[in-house]
Amino acid sequence: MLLEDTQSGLIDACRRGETEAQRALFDLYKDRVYTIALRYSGDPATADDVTQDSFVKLFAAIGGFRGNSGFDSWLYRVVVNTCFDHKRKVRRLLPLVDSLVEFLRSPARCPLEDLLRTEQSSLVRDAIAKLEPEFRMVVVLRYSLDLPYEEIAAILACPPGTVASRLSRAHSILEKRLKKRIGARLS
Amino acid sequence: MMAEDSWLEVNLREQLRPVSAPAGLWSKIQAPGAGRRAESDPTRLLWPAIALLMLLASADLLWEFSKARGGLRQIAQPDAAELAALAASPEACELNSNDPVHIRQWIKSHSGIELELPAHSPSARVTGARIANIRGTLVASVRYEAGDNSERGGTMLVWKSGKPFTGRHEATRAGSEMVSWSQGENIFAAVPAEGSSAREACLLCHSEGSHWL
Repeated sequence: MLLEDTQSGLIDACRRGETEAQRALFDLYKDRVYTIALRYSGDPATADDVTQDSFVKLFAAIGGFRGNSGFDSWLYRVVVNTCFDHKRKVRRLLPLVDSLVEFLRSPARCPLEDLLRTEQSSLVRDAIAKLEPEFRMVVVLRYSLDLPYEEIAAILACPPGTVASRLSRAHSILEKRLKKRIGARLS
Repeated sequence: MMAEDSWLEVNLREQLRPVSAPAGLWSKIQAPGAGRRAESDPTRLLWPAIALLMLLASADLLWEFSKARGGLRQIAQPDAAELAALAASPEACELNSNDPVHIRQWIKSHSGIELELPAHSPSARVTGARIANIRGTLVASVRYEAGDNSERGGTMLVWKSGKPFTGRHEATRAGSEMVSWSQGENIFAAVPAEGSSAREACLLCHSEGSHWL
């Protein structure tokens, strides 16, 4: 209740253009917004841009937020639309660099095991990156923010059944692709 | 299957786990012009430029195509031999009439050719008309008799040139027995009947025949 009041107060202050309130709202949501942007785009530079654009749009449009839907859903919708609009900067080498950094930072274990683990992570990320945008976004919202189907449906403006079918389809596609790449490790 | 789903979901949660936003984003949002950054993206100008180039290329293509069609139309113009053969053809008129207005209307409705015929000619009278197709060009032929002799007279042939003739009415001899000229968007050829002179072929419009022949 206190949190809702705090959030409501922040939104009202943002409507009045108060910078401190905007900063507080930014701090409250920046990680979730950045997570969606990074996990959807797979590229930190694109995620920076999407996060920045999302908050600029948010503060410009917050006067129009009527409170009919939850603020979180409304904000996520802004982020999702910004992701879809944003020209995707394909940097195919970046996942490999990420994997290498992850490998070097990981605690000392069996080097072969770490190598396989890193390779597997890279394959999974690559498979996610190749999903169609609407499937990828459902997967990101579900597994990055752990959102329920109903909230994802509200964000994407579609029925919960559509969310379920997209998620199921995304699972099938990922399984199929990863089976080919990882093969025996899946079973 | 369940094991596969679990494996997949575990991996998805691991690979898509939440992350922290990098420091410094707030200062970028606060920077003047942050909202205009997208608009200042130079690639935004690229697509309108490409669209404009495509439009110009399409217009040029249309122009070239139009010119090519004009060229083809010129190639398809009936030649003197074809016109002479058409005028001498024994085929009967599709329309038998002595009424210039009726003939004019019939030709207009069957070929789209606008043809001015003198309402009353003291030296010649129209007898009928037909439409022929010479290599895709519709040619209207109007038969007429000159003087009191139904054996004399000629055939006037008319077809569209495809482009308006802006010069004055000029007649030229096309072969020894044919007179042709352009007027408006039409090309005309007057072919005298067998035994008639080229001068008599002009009697439909010129009561004294053509002075220069």
